[in-house]
Amino acid sequence: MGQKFSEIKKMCAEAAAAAGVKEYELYYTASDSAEIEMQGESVKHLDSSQRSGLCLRVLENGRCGYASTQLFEQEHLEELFIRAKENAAYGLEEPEGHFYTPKAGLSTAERAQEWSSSLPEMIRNGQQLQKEMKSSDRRITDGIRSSLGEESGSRAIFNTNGLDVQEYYHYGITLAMSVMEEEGKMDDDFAYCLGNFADIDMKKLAAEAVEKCGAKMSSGEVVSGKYPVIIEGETFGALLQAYFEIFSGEAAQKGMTLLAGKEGQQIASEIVTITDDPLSGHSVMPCSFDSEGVPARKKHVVEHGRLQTLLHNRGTAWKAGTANTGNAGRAGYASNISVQPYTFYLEPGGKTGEELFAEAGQGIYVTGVTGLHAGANSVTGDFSIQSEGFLIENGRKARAVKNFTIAGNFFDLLKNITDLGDTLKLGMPRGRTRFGSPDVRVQELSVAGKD
Amino acid sequence: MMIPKYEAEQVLARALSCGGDFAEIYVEHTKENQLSYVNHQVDKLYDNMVSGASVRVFDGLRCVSASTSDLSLSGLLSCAARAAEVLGQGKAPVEIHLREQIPGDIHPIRVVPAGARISDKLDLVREAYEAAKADSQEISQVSAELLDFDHRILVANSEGLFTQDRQIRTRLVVNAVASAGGENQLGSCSPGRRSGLEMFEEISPGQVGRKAARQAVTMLHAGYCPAGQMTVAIENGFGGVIFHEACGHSLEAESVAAGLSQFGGKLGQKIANEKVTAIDDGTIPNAWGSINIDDEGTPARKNVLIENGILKSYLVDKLNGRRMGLDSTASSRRQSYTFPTTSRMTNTYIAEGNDDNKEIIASIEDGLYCREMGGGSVNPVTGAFNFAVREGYRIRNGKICEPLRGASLIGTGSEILQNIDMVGKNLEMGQGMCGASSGSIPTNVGQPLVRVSRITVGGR
Repeated sequence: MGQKFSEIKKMCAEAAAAAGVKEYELYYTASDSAEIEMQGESVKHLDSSQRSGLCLRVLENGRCGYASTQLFEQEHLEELFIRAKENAAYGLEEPEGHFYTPKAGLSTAERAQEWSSSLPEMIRNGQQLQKEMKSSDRRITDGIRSSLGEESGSRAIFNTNGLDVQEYYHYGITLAMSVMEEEGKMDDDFAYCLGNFADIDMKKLAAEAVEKCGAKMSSGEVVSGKYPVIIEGETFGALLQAYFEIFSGEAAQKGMTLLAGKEGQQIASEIVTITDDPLSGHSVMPCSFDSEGVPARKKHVVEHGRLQTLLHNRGTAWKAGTANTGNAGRAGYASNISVQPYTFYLEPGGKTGEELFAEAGQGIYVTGVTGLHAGANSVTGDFSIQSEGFLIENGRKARAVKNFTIAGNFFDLLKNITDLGDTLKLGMPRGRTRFGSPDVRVQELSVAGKD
Repeated sequence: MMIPKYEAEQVLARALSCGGDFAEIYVEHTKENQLSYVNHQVDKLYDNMVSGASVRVFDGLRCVSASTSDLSLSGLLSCAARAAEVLGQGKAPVEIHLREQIPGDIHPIRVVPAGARISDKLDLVREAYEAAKADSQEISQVSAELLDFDHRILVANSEGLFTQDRQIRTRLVVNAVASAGGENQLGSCSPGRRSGLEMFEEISPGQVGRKAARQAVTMLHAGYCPAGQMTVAIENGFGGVIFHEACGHSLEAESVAAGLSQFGGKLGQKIANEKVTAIDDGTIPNAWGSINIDDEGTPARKNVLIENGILKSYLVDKLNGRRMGLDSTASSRRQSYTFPTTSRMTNTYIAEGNDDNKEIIASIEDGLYCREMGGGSVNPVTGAFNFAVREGYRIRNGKICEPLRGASLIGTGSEILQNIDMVGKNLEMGQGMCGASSGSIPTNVGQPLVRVSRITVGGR
């Protein structure tokens, strides 16, 4: 796994002495991954990657300076300390003038690697997936693809105040991408599965990808207007992800969220409880400590519609004079410390799928949205996003529809949730974060389709 | 030099030691800096050195790749070995002889940002920040960021190529929030160039700040855009995102070769209104999306994609070119060594037409004028795209009227290309970061003012 962190720590100690730096922190990540992409029944692309990166933070006169690198020779590390020291002159004040000092007895979630796959095994599984998709529907084209990937890695934090922790992760992901063509019309969709390739029912995964694509092939249009809407769980999770910043203590201090100062107030319908869990069984990267080394914990962010807390790291909690929630995060090894969630989800309610549809009567079941990075704005809460799904007619899921938008404001949407499904559905993991929700029924949203 | 020629020769020989007919090594050193200013203070100072290498081996239409952040010779050889081993064993040893080629530099740099003092950069962001803050009492928050990249690449391949390039880019990003009555609206402006800090001799940071602020305030006092099908006029600059999303991505060989593009097999056919001529040009001096060489070492060029509505060319990289029987169009790009390179856009725009800009607006009885577009996305298979309208106005009886917020445009590429029925004369570029399988890369979008006869507008 690249250069050993223990060696780098030693070299950095020398570099720190040379630069006259007394208090510093090292954040080191290393990963090893393999991925294959199948087209037809052969491997179209195979990639194997090994990488590591180091972020140094130094403290000079109570201010923090960052510098990062992927070059680990002594001369580079010495230069790294000099860069970080220069940057510290312009850096933010560190809470209490120091980096985190750990309390005794932090236990780390060292999840042992339970399985490992060989390349021939991955290829065999990929071939099976391709065959299953190809044979399951006559409309399937040669454009179908499957990919299988496995990654293991670690993150470690060391500081001169006694922090020295390391945690490992390992996961596998299998993706099936189906493509269909009929009468000059094409469409695609995908399904994925996490975990050991050997345990995955490839037939079922292929069937899911094909079924989703098949529904779209017969999609019709929607007439513009206001409709009762049920948003499918994974799709609502995608909205939560797009709007995550509204729950960030960092965004609040920058005036970038309308939830700033609303702790204790009703911000959502009474049935809404939103939880953030660092050690969720659904996570591919469970965390017992955050990116500053602070122990991570499970908490309700919203409980029965009331905002309990925004998410904080040491810096934002210190500024706000509130408790740190242990949510320091980094987008990559080199990123500045920010606020990030772990497994962040809306707790399920009690309604079965049939009950939700029956109570909606007429409306639209939204099962997918695209372009959230452009169509959803977390500063204003406004959204207008391209969607697909099904009509709801006479209390039942009816024909598929696509190429329409749903529009509204996320803050209003949270208040207008009238019912929740009983099954939590989670989206694709991205690093340590994963978003989820049950199916969510809302009174009414604006839909733009045909005239 | 990031690695000497003889090391590259050894790595390529190792990569081909178990089969394959083409091998390539890509090495990069990238210094990335970001200075963010919020709440009258430095909020973030990001300072990173990305370095690593990627080795690719082609075996017919198959591609095997491996990457590493370890640039020592042993690290590179082991990286090449990981790629080679997949192809099997046993083959006569290969000898590689590289010849250095120095590409012409069409993007001269005067003030290298990575070497500039932090205090000089701070002056620039502060100027933008203060100008936005001072623009209106309703501006409640501003963030100003200066980003600069010093990206050095080396590409060598088993055909004997050994070449290098240094790509320096600078960008100023200002976001302003206007607030009143419990509501927020956002404005932004983010010009960038493939140049150094001399870009601020041409672009004033204060103007960038004021433009962001004015947009936020305008939107704060705007009503919601109604939903439905409308005639729409889309302004120049970042308005070109419409072509980028609706058509550009579907012309990338990555989609076409895999049978995943709505425009597959349509070379020489009419795919757009005859008013539309579209170009991808990596050679525009110092433009945000420009290159000297692509990430496979092919010298940059200007590609006419659509001429008077007829599809003339795809955007092709070497691997997908093999799959399609076409030569590279110098379109292979990647964010960094950690992403597999593939066909992408550079500076992509709709060329100027013959319609008078005033007549375009005057021709619309009831419709939407999109002065500033936001980002968007597309599914190349169906061509279904969406993008956000950042600053929109109602058009009534040929006149631009009140501002509208919360609009988005959706449709399919083939449809909108036919519906662009008027093309104006004020071509301008806008800067974006384009995300796809080979990572996030700087691209310019562009167009003059255009009219779309009919498109679905998402609103409420």
